[in-house]
Order: sequence, then structure tokens, then C-alpha cells
Amino acid sequence: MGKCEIVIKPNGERANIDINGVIDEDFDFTQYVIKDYNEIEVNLAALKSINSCGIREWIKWFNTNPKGTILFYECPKIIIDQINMVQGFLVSNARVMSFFVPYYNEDVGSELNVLFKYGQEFTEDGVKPPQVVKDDQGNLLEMDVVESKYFRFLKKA
Amino acid sequence: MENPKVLILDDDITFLTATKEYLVKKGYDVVAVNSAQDAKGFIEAENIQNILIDCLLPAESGIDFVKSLRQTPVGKQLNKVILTSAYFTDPSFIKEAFSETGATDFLVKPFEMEELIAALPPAVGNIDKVDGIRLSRRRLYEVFSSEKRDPRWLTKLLEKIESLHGFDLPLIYNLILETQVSGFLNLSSEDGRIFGVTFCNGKIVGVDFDDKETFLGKILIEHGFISPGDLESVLMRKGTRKLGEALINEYYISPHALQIAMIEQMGLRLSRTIVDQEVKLNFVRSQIEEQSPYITVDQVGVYLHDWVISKLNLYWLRAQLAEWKYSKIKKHTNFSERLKNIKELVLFKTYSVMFQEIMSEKSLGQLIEKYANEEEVFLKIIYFLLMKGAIYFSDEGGLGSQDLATYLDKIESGINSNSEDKWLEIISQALGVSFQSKSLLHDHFLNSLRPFEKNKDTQIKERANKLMLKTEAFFNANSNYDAKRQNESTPKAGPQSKASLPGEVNPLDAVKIHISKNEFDMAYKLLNAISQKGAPIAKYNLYYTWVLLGIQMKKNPNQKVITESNEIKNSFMKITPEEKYDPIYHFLLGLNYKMKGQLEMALRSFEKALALDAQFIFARREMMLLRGDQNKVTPSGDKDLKSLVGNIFSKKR
Repeated sequence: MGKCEIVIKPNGERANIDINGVIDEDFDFTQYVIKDYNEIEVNLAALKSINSCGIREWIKWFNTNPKGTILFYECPKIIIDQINMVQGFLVSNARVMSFFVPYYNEDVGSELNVLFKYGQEFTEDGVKPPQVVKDDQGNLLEMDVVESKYFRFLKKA
Repeated sequence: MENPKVLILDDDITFLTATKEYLVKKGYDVVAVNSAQDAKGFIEAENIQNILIDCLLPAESGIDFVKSLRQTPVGKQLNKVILTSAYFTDPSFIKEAFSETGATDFLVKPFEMEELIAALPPAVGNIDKVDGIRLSRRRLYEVFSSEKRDPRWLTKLLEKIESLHGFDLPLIYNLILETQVSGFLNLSSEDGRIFGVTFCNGKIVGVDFDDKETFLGKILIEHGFISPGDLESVLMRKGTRKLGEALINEYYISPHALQIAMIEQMGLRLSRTIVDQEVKLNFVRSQIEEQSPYITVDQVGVYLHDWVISKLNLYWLRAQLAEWKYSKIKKHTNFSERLKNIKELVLFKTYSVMFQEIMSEKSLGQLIEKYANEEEVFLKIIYFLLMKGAIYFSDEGGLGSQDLATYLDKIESGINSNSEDKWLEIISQALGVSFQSKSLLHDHFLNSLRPFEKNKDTQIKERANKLMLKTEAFFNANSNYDAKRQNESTPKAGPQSKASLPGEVNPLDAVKIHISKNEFDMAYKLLNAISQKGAPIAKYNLYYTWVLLGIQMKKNPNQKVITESNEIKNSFMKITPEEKYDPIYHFLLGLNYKMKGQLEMALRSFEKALALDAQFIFARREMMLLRGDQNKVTPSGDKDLKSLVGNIFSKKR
């Protein structure tokens, strides 16, 4: 199966964590200790894939720090899908601060992932997508998700 | 009751056409215009009370249009005023728009059609306004008629599925295999379990089902690749090595033997994913390395056969297929390709005549009537063919308006002249089913009304719609569907039935006592009573088969060869793949062979049962009887091997 890499950059009581690659049954979260941090910022931009084993291990790992604040940045669609599907995937002390939304042009087949940031493209009141999204060739792209399903996690928060 | 009228005003013709088409299908009466003047004319002339207006129009803004409309008499009677915009999405603009127009909703384009439906008054008899499972299943069954089968198509299809029933997972597996997409199918069941299947280029290369039981040791013993004693000694010595690796390194088994066992284990785990619950899913496309062991689409076809036979029950099948009762069964164009090798499968070998009849393009209802005495088997064959994508249900009905009217008359008269406490009984009788659970009955009832929406007779359609609305509140009263499904006693079969917890009385204990005393008739009555309660019980099918064999043999005590009854055959078919690793299963095979006079085969089966459980007294006794010599019985070990093997294989918490 694939490889996963976690890079933890401690900064006193805080830490920045990058999770890269594929989270599957071959990956051992337990070697990384996060329980003592008051705030953790997790960047998921380079996370490529996660399977059911990875989902269970993810939940266990993040629950080792039930008191700290956990902020997720640049969540790929695969993570948003798990947040929407699995109760407890987004642990109670965690928040999504930014996430990617795929856009697509059916005619030319071009794709683009647009980053939605808290305070800009979404807030507690809802989602405010960019009015126009274009690819490098100027082709208009449309949101390529089932919106009522994809943005559901924002209503749960 | 008329369908709600809706007027759409937009200068985007594509949007107008698509939205009108969608709303009409949903039961709305729709007028679509691209000029404000035309819109005003229609609203006044036809007293339209629901409007969908784009804020950005060529001549005047949608907001100004609504503001001026509000000054007129018809404007004061507007019900739903929905504003849309792709450009004016600023919260302050939206807030002002609400304030100035008295709008009831503001949809930002692009929006999901479900959001629009939610913003409109419900259409009369909006049969599609049901929970995600029913809608998703319809889409699933129609999917095999789609010519388009590329990875993007599949990904988008899977994204649209909110949830589905675990029994429909084989169809998803087949779809992914046939589309040859690689990635992880992640699944989450109602009871909070998370599991998944890994696909690679048309093969299943991994199954993750998080439970404590593993089957590798049992499989190796069952195949005769290793003796229980040798296995035990390797387990003691293996350390951190994987069992398979240790067995190969110490030359107990060949890599080929391990491969066989691992494929079988993967199949068993796959079988465990077919749960009798709602399941949510998502698919993560990913590069997956080719690896072995793996399961191919043909092998899944064989497992599918076993799952359909052993896991599905009559009540569930009836409820799910009720929608197509009046539809003709038709073959897909690649029917033969999809069904190559099925003649080897037990279901088709035993019921080949029924299978031929299914291909005669009669309606489902006509065939159900014909095979009323074997309805469960018949519906299982139908479901198997559906899951394989070999058949579909045509819109050509086999029954006409007269039959539909008769069906409606039956229910309407019962409901109109009785209080609600009698409705469950009335509807069950009209459907010709015994009441099992309210939610299942509701599924069945709604599905039985689906054919009406295609009927050209508008009176019939309206009657069906009214009936549906009238009973909707009744079925939904005081219920959370998820909670009800978990609590109600729906007959469930198969491995997801839980074993008793320590301290709990196992209903099968009394059955076992009767069996030990050869009181098979008493045991049979008890088992039927247990089945009526509907609660799922582990090993039920094993004991039921045992009792049937006992009754058969007791009826014919002096006969050396007894013909296997259809009831026994069917009972064997219902034993799930996981239960086939229970020593009782091999014992039952032994009894069956013995009954049919195949004594050598019987001995081998009893030996296998003893290999898995050296203390299995019944198997030991049968062997003694067959061999006629107590001293020749040599059990495989003195210890309780089953518990030893089971304990060793249990995953550590």
C-alpha cells in the first residue's frame, strides 16, 4: 500500500503538523505524540488518500488530545467526504479552517480545486463561493460536488 | 388536489428548460418564461402563487419585478417567492432582497434541485420525496442500462448516493470492478462500524472488516493443508511474524496453499460487509499497487450467489421489489456475458425451469403469482439477476389500470372506514404480506405505489397520490426511521446477527436440548417461534437445518437411502459463508451424506467437524456409528481446539 509521512513542528505548546501521502493500514500513528499540545494546526494539502483502516486510526489519534484546539487547513475533498460520512471523524475540539472544492468544465474536461477559507468563502452563516471560476484557458468551471452533501459538515459545526 | 403551479422567470434558456423539466417530473405545474411582461400576464391569468425569479434580468431586475407585482392583487396572494442569482451573492444584498420583496428563499446559482424542491410547496404525491435509500436504489438498478461507464461517471454516481442498504453493496462492488477504477471504497454502517474494500483495475485486493475473528487457521485446517496440532505449534513459535509467513518458512504449507486460503478469507470478509443495515459510502480514487491475493468479478459473482441465498429474507425482498410488480422483466443486451458460468451455481442448477420462465418477459407480479409456493427462491433469483445487471424492469406494465384501481379500492375502503390502529393490518393484507415491521411495510407500500406515477390514467394517479399523502403522516408518526429500524423486530438472516452476550439467555439453548434428546419436532416448533419474533440469532440456520435433517431421518428410520427434501436443500442454501466454517456445518453435511447413503463422504465430513472441534460429541458419535468401532475414532487432539484456535486468532484489543 502507499506511504504516509507526518511532520510535526513543535512551537512551545503549539504544533504545526503536515500529513502527507496515503493513510492506510500500514501507517502507525502511535509513533507521533500530540496529546500535550494546546493548539495544533494540521495541514492536509499533500494528503492523497485514506482508507477505512486509516479512518479508524485517524479518529483514535486525534482523540489522544481531547482538550487542545485542532485546526485543519487545506482539507482535500477526500477528508471532507470522511467528515461528512463518519461520526467523530472531525473530533469535537477540531475545526476546519480551509478546504478545497473541486470545479470542473464538462466540455473541455478541465478541473480545478478552489480553496475555500473561513471568513472568506465560508462562515458560520453559510457558503459564499466565488462568483466566477475559470481555468488557465479562460474556460468557466462549475462546482463539481453535490452541494447539499458536500457542505453539510458546515451546518453540523 | 391540484399540483402546485410554479412560474420561472429567467433569461437563461438552458436553466429555464432544465428546471422546468425537472419540476414537471416532480409533479409541479410549471410555466417558464424569459420576459417579465409575460410572467406578469401568466401570474395574473392563472393565479400562480409560486414564483422563481432571477435577480439579474435584461429589462428590469427581478427584485423590481417582484416589488411591483406585490402592489397588485395577485401579488398579495403569492405563496413562495424564490429569488435566484449567480452574481449577487453578498449577504447584505440578499438581506435587502428579502426585506424588499418578502421573498421566502434565495438560492445562489448553481444550486441543487433538491434545494429548490425544499423551497417550494410539496407537489401532490411527490413519490420521489422519500428517503435517500429508496431514491438511491432506483438509480442503482437503472444504472446497468447506462452505456457510459468511465471513471468520472462512476465517481459522480457514487457521490450522489447518500446511503444505501448493505444488501445493495454487491451491485456497487460489481460496478467498480467493471469500470476498472482503482481506489478505496470506505463504508460506514448504522451501528457505527467503519469498513472498506480496496479495488485495483477490476479486482478486489483488500477487504477491511474490523472484527476480532479471523478465519485463516480454520480455512487451512478445513482444506487439509495443515493439521490442528501443527498449526498450534507454529502459533506458539511464530513471534511477530505473520502466520502465513511462518507456515511457509517452516515448510508446513506451500505459498500456493496460503494463496488459496487468503483468497477464501478475503471472500469471507467481503461477505461480512453485506450487512442488513443502512450503509453510507464514499470512494477515494487512488493509485493502488497490483497485488495478490485478489478477487475477480467472476468470483464476486459466485459470492453474490451465496449472499443472495443466505442473507436476504423474503420480507425484505418483497418490500424492495414491490415497485416493479407490474413491470415486465427484460434481459439486458449483454445478458449472456453477465451470466456466463451461472449454470454451475446451486440456485440455477436446482431451479433451472424457474430461471427459463423469468426470461419469458412476463411481469414480475405474474411470475410471483405462479411461484407463490416458492416465492422466496424466486425473488432471490430475480435479485441475483438484478445485482448482476443481467435483467431490468421495463416500463411496459403487465397489468393495466383496472388491476391498479382494484388495488387502490382495497386499501382506500379499508383506510377510510377504519381507525388508524387498524391501518397496518389493512395495508399488510392488501399487499399480501404478514406484518413484520412498520418501516419495512412503509417501504413496501410506497414501492407498491410507484407504478401509479407512470400510469396514464390521471384519476388513478391522483388517487394513489392522495393515499400516499394520507398514510405518510401515519407511518412517520412518533418515529425516527433510523431508530425504528434498529428497534423493530425485522427478520434478519446471516452473520450480522449477534451472538448472545454473557449472561443473556440464548434462545437456541432450548433448541439444543431438544436436539440432544432427538426431539426434533419440538425443536422445529421452537425454531419457528424464534423466527416469528424476528430477532436475528447467530447460527439459527445451522440449527434449523439440523432439525430438518433430524425430522427427515426420524420419519424414515429403516431406510438406508433417503431423498433430500427441497426444504433441506433450501435450508442448506441459507447457511452463510461465515457459518460454513463452523464445525456444525460439516457435521450437517455429514448427516446429509449419511441420509443419502454416501457413507464415505459422510465420514469425511464428520472428520472435518471433529478437526475443527475435537469435543463435538455428535460428530464423534456419528463417526462411531459409521465405523462401528469406538477404538478407531481418533480425534485430532485432546484439547478443545476450537476455543484454542479461536483464542489465538482473536485480535488483541
